[in-house]
Amino acid sequence: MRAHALDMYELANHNEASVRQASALRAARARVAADVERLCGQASDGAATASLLRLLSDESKRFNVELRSLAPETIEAPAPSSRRTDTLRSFAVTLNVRGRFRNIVAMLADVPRHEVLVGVRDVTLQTAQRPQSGVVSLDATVRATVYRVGKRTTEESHASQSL
Amino acid sequence: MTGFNYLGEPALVDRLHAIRVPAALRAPLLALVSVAFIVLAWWGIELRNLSAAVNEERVASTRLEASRIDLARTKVLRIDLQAMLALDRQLRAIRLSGSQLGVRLADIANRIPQRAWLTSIAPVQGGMDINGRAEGMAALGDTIAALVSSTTVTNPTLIRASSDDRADIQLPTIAFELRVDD
Repeated sequence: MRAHALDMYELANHNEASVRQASALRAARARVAADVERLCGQASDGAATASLLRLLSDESKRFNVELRSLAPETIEAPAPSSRRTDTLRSFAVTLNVRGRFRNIVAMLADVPRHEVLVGVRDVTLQTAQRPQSGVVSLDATVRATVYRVGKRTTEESHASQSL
Repeated sequence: MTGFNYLGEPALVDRLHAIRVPAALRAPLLALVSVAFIVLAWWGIELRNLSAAVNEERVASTRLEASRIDLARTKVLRIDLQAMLALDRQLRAIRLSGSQLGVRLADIANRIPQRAWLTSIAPVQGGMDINGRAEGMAALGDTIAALVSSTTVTNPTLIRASSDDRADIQLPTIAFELRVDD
């Protein structure tokens, strides 16, 4: 019986040693939650689309690139693999832009860094005007995915914070 | 005839005193009494030890149960943190997606020599398909050699190269298609 009690004490000590890390885990989760909140973008597809249109309009002016067309795709784009894949919702869009190579590349690099969570999947570049004409313009077909973080994450986050 | 004892029952001590134990039995009897006493004392001690052990086990069990509940909460916390970290990594990767693609395009474009130019770059399974024109085979060779030293793509492979003899082109050029791996 004493041996059993001793085993239980040792197990309890081991458990308590793990539990002592809880405060550090809570602090780390708070930091990560704040980071996710900062990065997660819009809360609904409609809001994301509206913000995307504003963003592309601003970016095309800023980088001197002509936004020729924008087509949201009906097929749901797969989100990056994760245990919480269902919390990261997404829809795909295809953009056609025309401009100089340097401007298009700068715009592609800048677009994902704004309020809307946009992932650039790939881009196809083609010359729009020949080099002999002076300025080389390119037509770029950009396939992008607009993400938003589902509500479940926030709810789960609040529920686990009460632990 | 009924008899009456007017002196009453003798006291217990007197009765014990009255018992006469034969001399031959005294030693074994004393030993038996001693053994009984020792066994009783030992039993008492064991009972006390058992009670202490039961108490100790109950305390340990209570503590273990409490620690298990706390541990379960900590595990939930850890799982939640891991999921949040995975989501955070995904979000960061999305935020950097444009930069990574931009760096790759810029790297490819910057490595193309003066006597060659690109007409299209398109992603394909596991790499990119590059189409362009070059002023002769030597310029095409320079293009491939330049892509070999790239840090963002690997294994440049020539898919096709042919003379571009369209009327609207003033200089004789080679139309080429290259494939590079990620």
